[in-house]
Amino acid sequence: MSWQDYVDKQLLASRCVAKACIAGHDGNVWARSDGFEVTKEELAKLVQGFEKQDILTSSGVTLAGNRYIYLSGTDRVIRCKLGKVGVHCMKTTQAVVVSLYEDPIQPQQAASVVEKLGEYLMSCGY
Amino acid sequence: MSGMLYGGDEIGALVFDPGHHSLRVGYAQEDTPKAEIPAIVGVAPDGGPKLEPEVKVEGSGGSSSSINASQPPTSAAAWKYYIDTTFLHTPRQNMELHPYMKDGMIENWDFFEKVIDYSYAKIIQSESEYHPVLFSESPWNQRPKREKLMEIMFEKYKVPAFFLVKNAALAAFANGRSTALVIDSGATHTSAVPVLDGYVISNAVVKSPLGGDYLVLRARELLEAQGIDLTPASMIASKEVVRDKDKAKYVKKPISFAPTNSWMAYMSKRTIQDFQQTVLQVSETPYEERVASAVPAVHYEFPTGYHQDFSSERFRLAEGLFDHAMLGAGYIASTSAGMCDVDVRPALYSSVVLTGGNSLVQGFSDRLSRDLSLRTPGSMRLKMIAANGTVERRFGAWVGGSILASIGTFQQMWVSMQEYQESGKVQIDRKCP
Repeated sequence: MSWQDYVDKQLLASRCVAKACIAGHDGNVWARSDGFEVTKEELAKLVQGFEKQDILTSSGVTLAGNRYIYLSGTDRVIRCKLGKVGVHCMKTTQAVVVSLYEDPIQPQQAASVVEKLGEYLMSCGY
Repeated sequence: MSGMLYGGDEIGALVFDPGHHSLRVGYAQEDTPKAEIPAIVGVAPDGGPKLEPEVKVEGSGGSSSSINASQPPTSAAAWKYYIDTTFLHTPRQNMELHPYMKDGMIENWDFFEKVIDYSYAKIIQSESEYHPVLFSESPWNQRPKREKLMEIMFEKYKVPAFFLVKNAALAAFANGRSTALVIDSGATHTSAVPVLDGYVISNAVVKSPLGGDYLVLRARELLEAQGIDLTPASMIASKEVVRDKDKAKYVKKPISFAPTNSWMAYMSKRTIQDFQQTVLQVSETPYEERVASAVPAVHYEFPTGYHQDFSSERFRLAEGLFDHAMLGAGYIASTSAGMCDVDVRPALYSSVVLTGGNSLVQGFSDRLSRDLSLRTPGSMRLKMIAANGTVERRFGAWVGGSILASIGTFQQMWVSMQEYQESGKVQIDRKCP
């Protein structure tokens, strides 16, 4: 499967995720869904944020020009939201999976989908 | 989709809200918990006749590593457990009291399970496998404990569905808000927790160890310094009327044994708690001897019959909650809001929810309001929501749990037994953020 397939057929198809993107730790985008214009800088900053959550708490997470408010996270998962839109990101061995979801999708649904994919990628070495 | 569909009104979910002072337990959709069980377990060696040889049960399942004094049991048959007010307040020979909560989280799982057993047997009076269970937890609860709780509920109690929510989010719901800065002043600590759309911003949680127990400690110092006898009511057989400030004249109950130290400490703590809750008041402005003495004094009678007026001490004692530079309630509230995103702060300040039993101290909300407004920029609109009734403040998180468990859209969010069996306890972080 190509990376774009992962985005389309795994994440978006589950209908628990509105927009998604998979990128490397340096910020290089491997695949993204339509209309989700995340830049390399935003992703690189996000990846750094996994290690040091303090930069995210005060400044939030910026994706595709929107600034989301940081809610909580661990060294593998980051959750944020802005109004009706929520963000769930998971860091794998070589990549980061970023997903956006909106009402009426529940955060847990998006989380399950993203984390299952993340764990699968980690088991493949990515 | 996960979860079960329950027919309209019949949800039958249970809500458990464990705290340091007590465990609140009851049915969802009701407006108060059925029971408030003190968070203390009495353990005494079983004095009854033994009908069969003692069975040595190795390490009995739980991880009760934190018990100090009387080392419990390798043999489960040798000890009796006393739970709830009626059993705890009678002096018994060799009964040691142990709390099972520490730092806002469950510490002693064996005792905790005993209390849950008691709740199901005596309060709910029904089998655990028929009711979905909603538990509240501290915003700083640790992952292993969350997983363990989930494991216990599913494995031991075989509940059909389970969910875990932060108590701050529940307190906000109980007050009709999903975004709020929740100031929870309880027995052991006071915390400021920002909640955004029902999710706790965990990095901005600030807590201070100044709570009800701290006030009890200071009150105890004052009373003992004045030489007031703090014998609890359960040790007094009869007393006589004495004049103001005269030495008490009472007759002690004749008990053949000396009650344990932990029991005496607990009972005298309750005596002081009664004093603290009746007498103490927080002044509206930082404490000043002159101003405080001008307020009419409050008369209080102790269980021994001794009685006197208390005037400025009432304010001096309670001041401890606010005047501390880094642990005062106003400070932690503003720090917590300050740690949040700038865009969120106005929303937080316009819904400051006050909850927790200790916040019922007279004058707490006014003083907190004043302290907070001093610390926020002038343009910020500050609105404090402090429910008036004792039930709404003491059981804030429980009531929020009752509300949450009853709403239709929540029913799909339960973690069902089936999901637990498929994915195990590690999904707790995913399913209960």
